[in-house]
Amino acid sequence: MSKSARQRSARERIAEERRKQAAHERQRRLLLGVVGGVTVAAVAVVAVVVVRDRASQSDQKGIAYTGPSAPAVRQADGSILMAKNGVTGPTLEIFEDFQCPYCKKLEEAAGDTIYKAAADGKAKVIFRPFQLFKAPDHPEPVPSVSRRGANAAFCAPADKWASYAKTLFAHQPKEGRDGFENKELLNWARDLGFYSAEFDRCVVYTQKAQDIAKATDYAQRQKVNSTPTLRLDGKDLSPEQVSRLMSNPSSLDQILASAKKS
Amino acid sequence: MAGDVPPRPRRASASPRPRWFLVTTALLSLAGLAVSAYLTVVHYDHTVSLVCAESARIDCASVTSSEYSQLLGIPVPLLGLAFFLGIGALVTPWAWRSESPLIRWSRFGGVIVGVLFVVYLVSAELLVLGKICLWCTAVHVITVVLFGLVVVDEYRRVGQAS
Repeated sequence: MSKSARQRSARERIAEERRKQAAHERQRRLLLGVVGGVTVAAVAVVAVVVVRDRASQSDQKGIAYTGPSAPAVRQADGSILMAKNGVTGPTLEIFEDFQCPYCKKLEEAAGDTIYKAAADGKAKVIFRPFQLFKAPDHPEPVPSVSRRGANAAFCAPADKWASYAKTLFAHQPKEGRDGFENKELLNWARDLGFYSAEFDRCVVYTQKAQDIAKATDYAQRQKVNSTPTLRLDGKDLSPEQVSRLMSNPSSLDQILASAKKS
Repeated sequence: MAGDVPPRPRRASASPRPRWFLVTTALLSLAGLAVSAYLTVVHYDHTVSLVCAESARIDCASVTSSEYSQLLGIPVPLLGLAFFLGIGALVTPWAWRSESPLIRWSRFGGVIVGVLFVVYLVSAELLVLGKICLWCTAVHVITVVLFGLVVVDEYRRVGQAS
């Protein structure tokens, strides 16, 4: 091989070497760019998801009822029977809609008193949740909120009734506002320690729609057209009695005593 | 003689992708398209429900009905459908052969967007919902593998070009 040929092949080798190095450099930059860029972007995406979830999470928590309580069972028609063992009467029925502001007031004022009366054996209490606010008489979202609330209450285990009802009323959306979102309904169940996959599906798929319809039919047949309707041994409490109960819960004793006498 | 060979021999011989590569990317896109189509149908037709194993952690329906099933009002399965239609077109043998930077960059950008969207959805599943949807996971795996293959291809390409 001539000297010039040797020089040329040496130059070519160097050029080849440089090309290879350049190619390696490009590959290195590509990998760094892709791995680095995607990692940074992925971290940002995860952060956004977490932050948005935190922000959307209400500070509304499930509220546990911790006072005295009687055993509660779910009856065949979906209503909740709360009574001390052996107590047969008087029977206090409460028709309620979780979207109803007066029901909320009743729960806040006299809810604990009623639970305690059941625990003390002063009455057999039957909670009859139903959907008073229905379309088309009430514009959305009121009927949907009412329905979601009732459905979740039907899905909840009977022994958590007092806590879950208390929670629903406490976080009742203002009439006309959206609320009782599935996520909230499920989170409250988590707070109260009875969340399960079954409850999740029951809430998400409104699995108790039929029970709501039946309870609502029943309430209509019973001529319950406002809530809360309190019924003692089949007789409606007067509006005065109900409003007295709200301002002075201890009047429940007199009301129950009046039933025993009659 | 060597001098008779046309110039830029490297370019000319560039990117003869192996057959398995073309077949795999095309099949992955088709599979992604199929699953997205299924999820889209289930999203709109409530009489069809997802075939899905269910346990405490695995529950397709509560994921696909969650607030994360939509982005800016667009159902996520529909986004998936659009994604796989686009990527499907960009990984046809014709598109692979094309030297057009537009096609190359669309494909490369597409899979990056896809993989980031997977990160978004999976973090919603794991960190927020606490539920995993198996069908969605299939789509996620397909997207990540496609991303990997496109990056490998790009890696090979920049290593070849002179």
